[in-house]
Amino acid sequence: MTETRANEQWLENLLSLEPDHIDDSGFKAAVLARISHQSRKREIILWSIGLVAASITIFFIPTNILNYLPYEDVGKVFTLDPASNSSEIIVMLFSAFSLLGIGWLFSEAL
Amino acid sequence: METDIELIARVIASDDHKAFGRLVQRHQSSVRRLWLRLTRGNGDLSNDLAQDTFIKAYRKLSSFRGSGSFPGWLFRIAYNNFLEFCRKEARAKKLLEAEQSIAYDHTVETGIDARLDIEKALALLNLNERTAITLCYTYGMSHSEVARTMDIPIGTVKSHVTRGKEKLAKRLKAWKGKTIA
Repeated sequence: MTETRANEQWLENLLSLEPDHIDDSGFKAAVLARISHQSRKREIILWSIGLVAASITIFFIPTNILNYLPYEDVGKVFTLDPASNSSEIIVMLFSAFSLLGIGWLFSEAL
Repeated sequence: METDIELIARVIASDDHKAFGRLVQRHQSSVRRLWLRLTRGNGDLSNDLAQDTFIKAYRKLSSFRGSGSFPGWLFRIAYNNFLEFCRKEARAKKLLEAEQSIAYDHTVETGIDARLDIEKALALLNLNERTAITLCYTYGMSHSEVARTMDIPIGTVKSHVTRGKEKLAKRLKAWKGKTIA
Protein backbone atom coordinates (compact mmCIF):
# COMPACT_ATOMS: atom_id res chain seq x y z
CA MET A 1 0.00 0.00 0.00
CA THR A 2 1.52 3.33 -0.97
CA GLU A 3 1.84 6.08 1.56
CA THR A 4 -0.80 8.16 -0.22
CA ARG A 5 -3.24 5.26 -0.11
CA ALA A 6 -2.54 4.71 3.59
CA ASN A 7 -3.10 8.40 4.16
CA GLU A 8 -6.47 8.18 2.45
CA GLN A 9 -7.57 5.00 4.18
CA TRP A 10 -8.24 6.55 7.59
CA LEU A 11 -10.52 9.13 5.94
CA GLU A 12 -12.38 6.54 3.89
CA ASN A 13 -12.92 4.45 7.01
CA LEU A 14 -14.20 7.49 8.82
CA LEU A 15 -16.56 8.49 6.01
CA SER A 16 -17.84 4.94 5.65
CA LEU A 17 -19.06 4.92 9.24
CA GLU A 18 -22.68 3.89 9.18
CA PRO A 19 -24.73 6.95 10.15
CA ASP A 20 -27.18 6.74 13.03
CA HIS A 21 -30.49 5.18 12.02
CA ILE A 22 -33.31 7.71 11.85
CA ASP A 23 -36.46 6.41 13.54
CA ASP A 24 -39.60 6.27 11.46
CA SER A 25 -41.64 8.16 14.12
CA GLY A 26 -44.69 8.71 11.96
CA PHE A 27 -42.85 9.29 8.70
CA LYS A 28 -44.36 6.28 6.92
CA ALA A 29 -47.85 7.17 8.14
CA ALA A 30 -47.43 10.75 6.87
CA VAL A 31 -46.29 9.55 3.43
CA LEU A 32 -49.16 7.08 3.11
CA ALA A 33 -51.70 9.67 4.26
CA ARG A 34 -50.48 12.10 1.60
CA ILE A 35 -50.60 9.40 -1.07
CA SER A 36 -54.19 8.46 -0.12
CA HIS A 37 -55.23 12.10 -0.10
CA GLN A 38 -53.70 12.70 -3.53
CA SER A 39 -55.28 9.56 -5.00
CA ARG A 40 -58.66 10.65 -3.66
CA LYS A 41 -58.16 14.14 -5.04
CA ARG A 42 -57.38 12.75 -8.49
CA GLU A 43 -60.42 10.47 -8.35
CA ILE A 44 -62.64 13.39 -7.34
CA ILE A 45 -61.31 15.59 -10.11
CA LEU A 46 -61.98 12.84 -12.66
CA TRP A 47 -65.53 12.34 -11.37
CA SER A 48 -66.13 16.08 -11.46
CA ILE A 49 -64.90 16.32 -15.03
CA GLY A 50 -67.20 13.41 -15.93
CA LEU A 51 -70.19 15.05 -14.30
CA VAL A 52 -69.51 18.40 -15.94
CA ALA A 53 -69.19 16.68 -19.31
CA ALA A 54 -72.44 14.78 -18.70
CA SER A 55 -74.28 17.97 -17.72
CA ILE A 56 -73.03 19.84 -20.78
CA THR A 57 -74.00 16.95 -23.00
CA ILE A 58 -77.52 16.84 -21.57
CA PHE A 59 -77.97 20.60 -21.90
CA PHE A 60 -76.63 21.02 -25.37
CA ILE A 61 -77.28 17.73 -27.11
CA PRO A 62 -79.19 18.51 -30.25
CA THR A 63 -82.74 17.38 -29.91
CA ASN A 64 -82.95 16.23 -33.49
CA ILE A 65 -80.03 13.78 -32.99
CA LEU A 66 -81.88 12.13 -30.14
CA ASN A 67 -84.95 11.98 -32.25
CA TYR A 68 -83.07 9.79 -34.72
CA LEU A 69 -82.52 7.16 -32.02
CA PRO A 70 -84.34 3.95 -32.82
CA TYR A 71 -86.11 4.08 -29.47
CA GLU A 72 -88.69 6.75 -29.85
CA ASP A 73 -89.51 6.97 -26.16
CA VAL A 74 -85.90 7.64 -25.21
CA GLY A 75 -85.74 10.37 -27.80
CA LYS A 76 -88.87 11.96 -26.43
CA VAL A 77 -87.70 11.94 -22.84
CA PHE A 78 -84.58 13.93 -23.70
CA THR A 79 -86.06 16.40 -26.12
CA LEU A 80 -86.07 19.95 -24.90
CA ASP A 81 -89.42 20.56 -26.36
CA PRO A 82 -91.12 23.35 -24.33
CA ALA A 83 -94.34 21.49 -24.73
CA SER A 84 -92.93 18.50 -22.95
CA ASN A 85 -92.76 19.37 -19.23
CA SER A 86 -91.53 15.95 -18.17
CA SER A 87 -88.33 16.15 -20.25
CA GLU A 88 -87.47 19.60 -18.87
CA ILE A 89 -87.96 18.43 -15.30
CA ILE A 90 -85.70 15.43 -15.86
CA VAL A 91 -82.94 17.57 -17.38
CA MET A 92 -83.21 20.18 -14.62
CA LEU A 93 -83.16 17.56 -11.89
CA PHE A 94 -80.17 15.83 -13.44
CA SER A 95 -78.31 19.11 -13.74
CA ALA A 96 -79.15 20.13 -10.19
CA PHE A 97 -77.92 16.80 -8.84
CA SER A 98 -74.80 17.03 -10.98
CA LEU A 99 -74.02 20.49 -9.62
CA LEU A 100 -74.65 19.35 -6.06
CA GLY A 101 -72.44 16.34 -6.71
CA ILE A 102 -69.65 18.48 -8.11
CA GLY A 103 -69.91 20.84 -5.13
CA TRP A 104 -69.71 17.97 -2.69
CA LEU A 105 -66.81 16.34 -4.52
CA PHE A 106 -64.81 19.57 -4.51
CA SER A 107 -65.50 20.16 -0.83
CA GLU A 108 -64.17 16.63 -0.19
CA ALA A 109 -61.09 17.30 -2.28
CA LEU A 110 -60.13 20.43 -0.33
CA MET B 1 -38.76 -11.09 4.16
CA GLU B 2 -39.94 -9.82 0.79
CA THR B 3 -37.36 -8.17 -1.46
CA ASP B 4 -37.75 -4.62 -2.78
CA ILE B 5 -38.59 -6.01 -6.24
CA GLU B 6 -41.40 -8.19 -4.84
CA LEU B 7 -42.87 -5.27 -2.92
CA ILE B 8 -42.63 -3.01 -5.97
CA ALA B 9 -44.40 -5.64 -8.07
CA ARG B 10 -47.23 -5.75 -5.53
CA VAL B 11 -47.60 -1.97 -5.56
CA ILE B 12 -47.70 -1.86 -9.36
CA ALA B 13 -50.05 -4.84 -9.72
CA SER B 14 -52.63 -3.94 -7.09
CA ASP B 15 -51.84 -0.44 -5.83
CA ASP B 16 -50.94 -2.05 -2.52
CA HIS B 17 -50.34 0.78 -0.05
CA LYS B 18 -49.21 -1.66 2.62
CA ALA B 19 -46.40 -2.92 0.39
CA PHE B 20 -45.37 0.65 -0.40
CA GLY B 21 -45.45 1.40 3.33
CA ARG B 22 -42.93 -1.37 3.87
CA LEU B 23 -40.67 0.11 1.20
CA VAL B 24 -40.93 3.49 2.92
CA GLN B 25 -40.14 1.95 6.29
CA ARG B 26 -37.14 0.10 4.86
CA HIS B 27 -35.56 3.08 3.09
CA GLN B 28 -36.79 6.13 4.99
CA SER B 29 -33.68 6.41 7.14
CA SER B 30 -31.22 6.50 4.22
CA VAL B 31 -33.37 8.88 2.15
CA ARG B 32 -33.87 11.20 5.11
CA ARG B 33 -30.14 11.05 5.89
CA LEU B 34 -29.34 12.05 2.32
CA TRP B 35 -31.82 14.92 2.57
CA LEU B 36 -30.26 16.03 5.84
CA ARG B 37 -26.91 16.18 4.08
CA LEU B 38 -28.34 18.00 1.04
CA THR B 39 -30.07 20.58 3.22
CA ARG B 40 -27.08 20.93 5.57
CA GLY B 41 -28.94 19.50 8.54
CA ASN B 42 -32.30 21.27 8.22
CA GLY B 43 -34.54 18.64 9.88
CA ASP B 44 -38.00 20.01 9.05
CA LEU B 45 -37.16 20.83 5.46
CA SER B 46 -35.46 17.51 4.87
CA ASN B 47 -38.46 15.63 6.28
CA ASP B 48 -40.88 17.48 3.99
CA LEU B 49 -38.69 16.91 0.97
CA ALA B 50 -38.10 13.27 1.86
CA GLN B 51 -41.89 12.80 1.93
CA ASP B 52 -42.11 14.42 -1.51
CA THR B 53 -39.42 12.01 -2.72
CA PHE B 54 -41.46 8.97 -1.67
CA ILE B 55 -44.67 10.38 -3.14
CA LYS B 56 -42.91 11.00 -6.45
CA ALA B 57 -41.42 7.50 -6.27
CA TYR B 58 -44.89 6.05 -5.71
CA ARG B 59 -46.22 7.82 -8.80
CA LYS B 60 -43.26 6.80 -10.95
CA LEU B 61 -42.87 3.29 -9.58
CA SER B 62 -43.92 1.63 -12.82
CA SER B 63 -40.93 3.29 -14.53
CA PHE B 64 -38.48 1.53 -12.18
CA ARG B 65 -36.76 -1.00 -14.44
CA GLY B 66 -34.76 -2.80 -11.77
CA SER B 67 -31.47 -2.25 -13.60
CA GLY B 68 -29.96 -0.54 -10.55
CA SER B 69 -30.79 -0.74 -6.87
CA PHE B 70 -34.06 0.68 -5.54
CA PRO B 71 -32.27 2.98 -3.05
CA GLY B 72 -30.14 4.28 -5.95
CA TRP B 73 -33.32 5.06 -7.87
CA LEU B 74 -34.76 6.82 -4.80
CA PHE B 75 -31.58 8.86 -4.39
CA ARG B 76 -31.83 9.95 -8.02
CA ILE B 77 -35.38 11.19 -7.43
CA ALA B 78 -34.26 12.93 -4.23
CA TYR B 79 -31.32 14.64 -5.92
CA ASN B 80 -33.46 15.82 -8.86
CA ASN B 81 -36.08 17.01 -6.38
CA PHE B 82 -33.43 18.97 -4.58
CA LEU B 83 -32.21 20.66 -7.75
CA GLU B 84 -35.81 21.52 -8.66
CA PHE B 85 -36.40 22.86 -5.16
CA CYS B 86 -33.28 25.03 -5.43
CA ARG B 87 -34.47 26.48 -8.73
CA LYS B 88 -37.88 27.38 -7.32
CA GLU B 89 -37.25 28.41 -3.74
CA ALA B 90 -35.37 31.49 -2.65
CA ARG B 91 -34.64 29.94 0.74
CA ALA B 92 -32.63 27.25 -1.01
CA LYS B 93 -29.98 29.78 -2.03
CA LYS B 94 -28.23 29.37 1.28
CA LEU B 95 -28.03 25.61 0.77
CA LEU B 96 -26.26 26.02 -2.53
CA GLU B 97 -23.80 28.62 -1.39
CA ALA B 98 -20.27 27.41 -1.57
CA GLU B 99 -17.91 27.58 1.33
CA GLN B 100 -16.70 31.06 0.47
CA SER B 101 -16.77 32.31 4.01
CA ILE B 102 -14.96 29.32 5.41
CA ALA B 103 -11.22 29.00 5.28
CA TYR B 104 -10.01 25.98 3.35
CA ASP B 105 -8.19 24.48 6.31
CA HIS B 106 -10.94 25.26 8.80
CA THR B 107 -11.27 22.30 11.16
CA VAL B 108 -14.53 21.21 12.73
CA GLU B 109 -13.53 18.21 14.74
CA THR B 110 -13.88 17.91 18.44
CA GLY B 111 -12.43 14.43 18.38
CA ILE B 112 -15.26 13.17 20.60
CA ASP B 113 -18.14 12.17 18.32
CA ALA B 114 -16.99 11.03 14.89
CA ARG B 115 -20.47 11.02 13.33
CA LEU B 116 -21.18 14.54 14.49
CA ASP B 117 -17.84 15.79 13.21
CA ILE B 118 -18.42 14.12 9.83
CA GLU B 119 -21.80 15.84 9.50
CA LYS B 120 -20.27 19.21 10.37
CA ALA B 121 -17.36 18.73 7.98
CA LEU B 122 -19.61 17.60 5.14
CA ALA B 123 -21.85 20.63 5.63
CA LEU B 124 -18.86 22.79 4.74
CA LEU B 125 -18.43 21.19 1.32
CA ASN B 126 -20.24 22.42 -1.76
CA LEU B 127 -23.33 20.55 -2.96
CA ASN B 128 -21.64 18.37 -5.59
CA GLU B 129 -18.79 17.30 -3.35
CA ARG B 130 -21.15 16.68 -0.44
CA THR B 131 -23.49 14.55 -2.54
CA ALA B 132 -20.74 12.58 -4.31
CA ILE B 133 -18.94 11.80 -1.04
CA THR B 134 -22.18 10.80 0.69
CA LEU B 135 -23.26 8.48 -2.10
CA CYS B 136 -19.80 6.93 -2.49
CA TYR B 137 -18.84 6.38 1.12
CA THR B 138 -21.97 6.47 3.26
CA TYR B 139 -24.05 4.42 0.81
CA GLY B 140 -21.20 2.51 -0.84
CA MET B 141 -22.21 3.36 -4.40
CA SER B 142 -19.74 3.00 -7.25
CA HIS B 143 -18.58 6.04 -9.21
CA SER B 144 -20.71 5.00 -12.19
CA GLU B 145 -23.82 4.68 -9.99
CA VAL B 146 -23.14 8.12 -8.52
CA ALA B 147 -22.68 9.50 -12.03
CA ARG B 148 -26.11 8.10 -13.00
CA THR B 149 -27.71 9.45 -9.84
CA MET B 150 -26.28 12.93 -10.25
CA ASP B 151 -26.55 12.83 -14.02
CA ILE B 152 -22.96 13.96 -14.55
CA PRO B 153 -19.94 12.30 -16.24
CA ILE B 154 -18.01 9.75 -14.22
CA GLY B 155 -14.83 11.85 -14.45
CA THR B 156 -16.64 14.76 -12.83
CA VAL B 157 -17.77 12.48 -10.00
CA LYS B 158 -14.18 11.41 -9.43
CA SER B 159 -12.95 14.98 -9.27
CA HIS B 160 -15.74 15.98 -6.85
CA VAL B 161 -14.80 13.04 -4.64
CA THR B 162 -11.09 13.83 -4.76
CA ARG B 163 -11.58 17.52 -4.02
CA GLY B 164 -14.09 16.76 -1.28
CA LYS B 165 -11.74 14.26 0.34
CA GLU B 166 -8.84 16.71 0.29
CA LYS B 167 -10.95 19.25 2.16
CA LEU B 168 -12.32 16.69 4.57
CA ALA B 169 -8.85 15.31 5.33
CA LYS B 170 -7.82 18.75 6.56
CA ARG B 171 -11.00 19.34 8.49
CA LEU B 172 -11.09 15.96 10.16
CA LYS B 173 -7.38 15.54 10.77
CA ALA B 174 -7.91 15.06 14.50
CA TRP B 175 -9.38 11.66 13.68
CA LYS B 176 -6.32 10.42 11.83
CA GLY B 177 -4.97 7.37 13.57
CA LYS B 178 -7.82 7.20 16.06
CA THR B 179 -9.87 4.05 16.56
CA ILE B 180 -13.50 4.78 15.89
CA ALA B 181 -16.20 2.91 17.73
